[in-house]
Amino acid sequence: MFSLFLELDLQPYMSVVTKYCLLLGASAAAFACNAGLDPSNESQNPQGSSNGADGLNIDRVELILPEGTSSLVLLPARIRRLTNAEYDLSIQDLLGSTETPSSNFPPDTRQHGYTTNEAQRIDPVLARQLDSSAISLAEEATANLDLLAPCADSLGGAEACAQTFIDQFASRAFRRPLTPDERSGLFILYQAGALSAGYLEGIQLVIRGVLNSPNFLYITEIGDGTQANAISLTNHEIASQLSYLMTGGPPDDILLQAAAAGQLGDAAVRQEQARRLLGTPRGQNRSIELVREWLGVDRISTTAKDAMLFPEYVGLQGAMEQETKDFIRETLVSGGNVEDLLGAQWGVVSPELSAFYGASGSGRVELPNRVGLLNQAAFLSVYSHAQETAPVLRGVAIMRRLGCIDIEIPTTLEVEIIPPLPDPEKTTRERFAIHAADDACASCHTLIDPMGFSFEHFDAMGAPQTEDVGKPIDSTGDVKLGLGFDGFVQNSNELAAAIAQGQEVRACFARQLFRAQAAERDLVRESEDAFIQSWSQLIPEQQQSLTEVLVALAGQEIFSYRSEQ
Amino acid sequence: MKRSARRTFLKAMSGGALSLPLINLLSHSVAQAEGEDMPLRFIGMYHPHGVAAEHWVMRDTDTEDNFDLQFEGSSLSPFDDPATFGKSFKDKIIPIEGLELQSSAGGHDSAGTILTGSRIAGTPSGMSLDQYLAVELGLGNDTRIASAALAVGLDGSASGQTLSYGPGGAPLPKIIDPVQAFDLFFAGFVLGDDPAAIALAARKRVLGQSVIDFVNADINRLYPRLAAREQQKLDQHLTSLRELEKQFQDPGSNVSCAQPSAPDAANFPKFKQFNGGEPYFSAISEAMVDIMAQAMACDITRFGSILLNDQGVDSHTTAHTYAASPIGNNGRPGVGNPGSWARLADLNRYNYAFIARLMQRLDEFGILDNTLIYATSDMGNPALHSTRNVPTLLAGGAGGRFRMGRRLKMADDCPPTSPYCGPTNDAANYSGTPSNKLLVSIAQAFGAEIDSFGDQPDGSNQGTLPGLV
Repeated sequence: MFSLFLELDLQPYMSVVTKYCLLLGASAAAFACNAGLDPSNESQNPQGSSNGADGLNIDRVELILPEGTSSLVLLPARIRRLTNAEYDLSIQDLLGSTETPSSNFPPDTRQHGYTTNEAQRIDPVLARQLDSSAISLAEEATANLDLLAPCADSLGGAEACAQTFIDQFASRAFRRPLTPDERSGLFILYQAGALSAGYLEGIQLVIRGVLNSPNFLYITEIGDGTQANAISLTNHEIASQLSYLMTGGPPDDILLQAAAAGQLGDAAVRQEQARRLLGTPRGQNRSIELVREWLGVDRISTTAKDAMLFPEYVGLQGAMEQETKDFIRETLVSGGNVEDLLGAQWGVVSPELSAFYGASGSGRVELPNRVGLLNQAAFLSVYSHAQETAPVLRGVAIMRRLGCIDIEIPTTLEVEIIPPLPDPEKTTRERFAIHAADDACASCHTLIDPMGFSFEHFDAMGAPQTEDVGKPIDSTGDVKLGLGFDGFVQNSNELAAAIAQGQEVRACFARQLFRAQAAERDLVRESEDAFIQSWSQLIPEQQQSLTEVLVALAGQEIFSYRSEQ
Repeated sequence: MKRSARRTFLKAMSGGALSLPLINLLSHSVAQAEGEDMPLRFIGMYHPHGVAAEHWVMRDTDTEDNFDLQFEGSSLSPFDDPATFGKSFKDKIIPIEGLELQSSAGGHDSAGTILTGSRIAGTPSGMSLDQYLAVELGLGNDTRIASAALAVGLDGSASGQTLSYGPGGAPLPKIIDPVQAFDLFFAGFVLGDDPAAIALAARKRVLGQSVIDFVNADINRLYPRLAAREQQKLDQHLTSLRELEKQFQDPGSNVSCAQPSAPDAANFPKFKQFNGGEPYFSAISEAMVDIMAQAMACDITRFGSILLNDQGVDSHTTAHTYAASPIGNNGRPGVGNPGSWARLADLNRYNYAFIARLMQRLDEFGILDNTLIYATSDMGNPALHSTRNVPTLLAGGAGGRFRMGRRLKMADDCPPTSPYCGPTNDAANYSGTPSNKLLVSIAQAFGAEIDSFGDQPDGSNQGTLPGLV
């Protein structure tokens, strides 16, 4: 709006893809699928180490990386705006508020499905909302001024009290000690607010300023500006990296103390902290969100169904979302293993959802016909249309999210899509069979559709269905993806059971967690491959564990070092 | 080429924002008094779910200049309904049949093509017309806000729900809360002459400016420590702060437009789709239309887009079960279902009523004759997800640049046996008229010297739409 816009770094990406497709036309589809390649990854060279962080008048010292670490695998130095959820947890910690102001912000941009991403910008709409939020939070927080910014003598001693408050509050908000410039800038702000109004309004303006500051709104990964060649993150930056990845919120006291003591350069300390954080309630919630974003099932809250055809959907939508969360939470007891997440023959259901499933009882119950997250109502509803199932969406989700195969969308490949028309004579499966008959479509859809069809025994909101347009359901599929779970399956439960045991799926799972942390627009293959290399050294039980993969990630050099850009 | 477009854009932005003499914001009334041309305003609008052609296209007895909007079941009837909207706007519209949105996206995502004229691959590949006019051409520089994007219910950035795009097709954020939309335009305006209110407003401006100064300084300290890619993030942040800063500047005292009244938040306790907003969409649509009209009347902005919605997911049923008339069922078996046409027509009429309301408001403020509204939907026949025969509507006086009060029909884009066809039906002999031509015509009406608009690899972005002038 008003001439401003979300960041445009989409452009180079778009132009690469477009050029590619113009050259190759529809045949790119075949190439992309058969070779398992993503054309957009042609541009995956790491950012050249050119102009760096000049502009500071200090001599920079060449950084010697730990043995065995190549600067080529490091992620680029950067700043990353807090996601909406991170913003909420941050202001809650800072002010003791229970508000979730971000529910009024525009939804997060997504990269590879994840809300943590470097494309988050502060556009004019958000800038306005951030300021409104800051104003109301400042008012709310200062309702109990004695708790937040006590001052025995708020007349004569007000400025001294303000200095103390600024030091404590802003360093907490910035997740690091303040610089003298920042301190004096905030004090000027205090004076502007207090002028002819008093202590309270001065403090309010400081809070408003801090919550609008880039030092609060962006997580920095830039080091202290003294290094060349590569950059080691400061201890405080590492603390933020750890905390936002493991808990979705800002560093706690223990982590800040470890940072102040300079301990977080040590991989073992980082791993110990990671494990501790993942065990906290907030860490569990974060783990749940990571899994939900990985599979895209967090979109259940914005998934709509045709109320004429699925009148019970709206009433069950919340239960579906809760089931996913409760189920993942239950798997965390044993580390959040892939074989549980995707292959469990049990679920955690509300009475309503239990009835919908035709199961008996509520809470943790056996669900042999609902194997893992893929056969739960949230996944089945998200990957469906409003009125009918979507075998393609379901199949593509598996390829992209569990197989890490980055297939292109048809429009990118210049293949025109005509949705199969509703036809009262044909089942969904029969209508989508047109894919196999059309060469431009077939190269991809012979991979996608067999998996998608295996879910046909569930309707568009995940209810069991035995018939489609009066014909018996055919949910068989001959899967040939080449990822270790190929073969003929009777239905999606068999498919899920096979996927849950697939070694490639576990490697993809580790890649996905890396992507959630890397949060880069383009896949950073060198870094990702380096991580997978060390992941492969883990024992098999750890390789498939959400907790252990995240702890392993925290111990990596790529976690605490960055490349210059 | 894209890169340089971005730089030009940013330069235009910062130049416009920084050098803005506030007194000019309110100068149009002065200009008017001196007999100068009033500036032309542009509003792009979207309404979802295609059109029931049976209740929309020209009747057999209609001609270009002589047509009936009040026939039984007409979805265009709000434009000829003085009882509801004060007067008939029949002489201020041009419905155009036979345009195609060349989105290559099929269906809903084509909304992104409406103002960009560009194909969609995730997002459209080019900027939208409102941004081109307001920013690239700089026509929005003289107003407090260069352009504004409002929406009902949907604040995501997917191309199926976004009309306005910056260079390279970067989706622009939309405001879905009427109170926020009102504040965007009118915050800082002092309503009435209560000294306490005036003093409070002055203090708010001072505090706001202090915060802006502090944050700017913080950004400038961080800036040199970043590489170029990261600096772009702060460039955008700084630009956003400049937009925010406009709200903390003194709007001046001689506001000549009608005193705007703030929307009552109690009328829409929720406003997000899928988040409880649906019951309030009608009230929100009315509020957004009123706010946009007020903002244009006060010359706070001259460029805007409004993304309309409908009354929730039930309308999907209406659109998807639409069975076109027998002759128009794309040659497929089935006899059509008049009941389904009527339901979709109701939906169309529901949305047209908001456009008629916008015209009524603009007319009351005396600026309808100098406004051009371009409204359409993402689809023609929604059951086919067809991007042909989209229900194109021009409205307003268009500053005399277009001859209004007519109905236009482009060359046949479908075989006579299936008049509301999908995109591939007999493609060798029938193709739609690209909506790009309309975008070019509109741009030229605003003084742009261009003969193509939008990103179309086959060159179909060229030329103007015949018959408008």
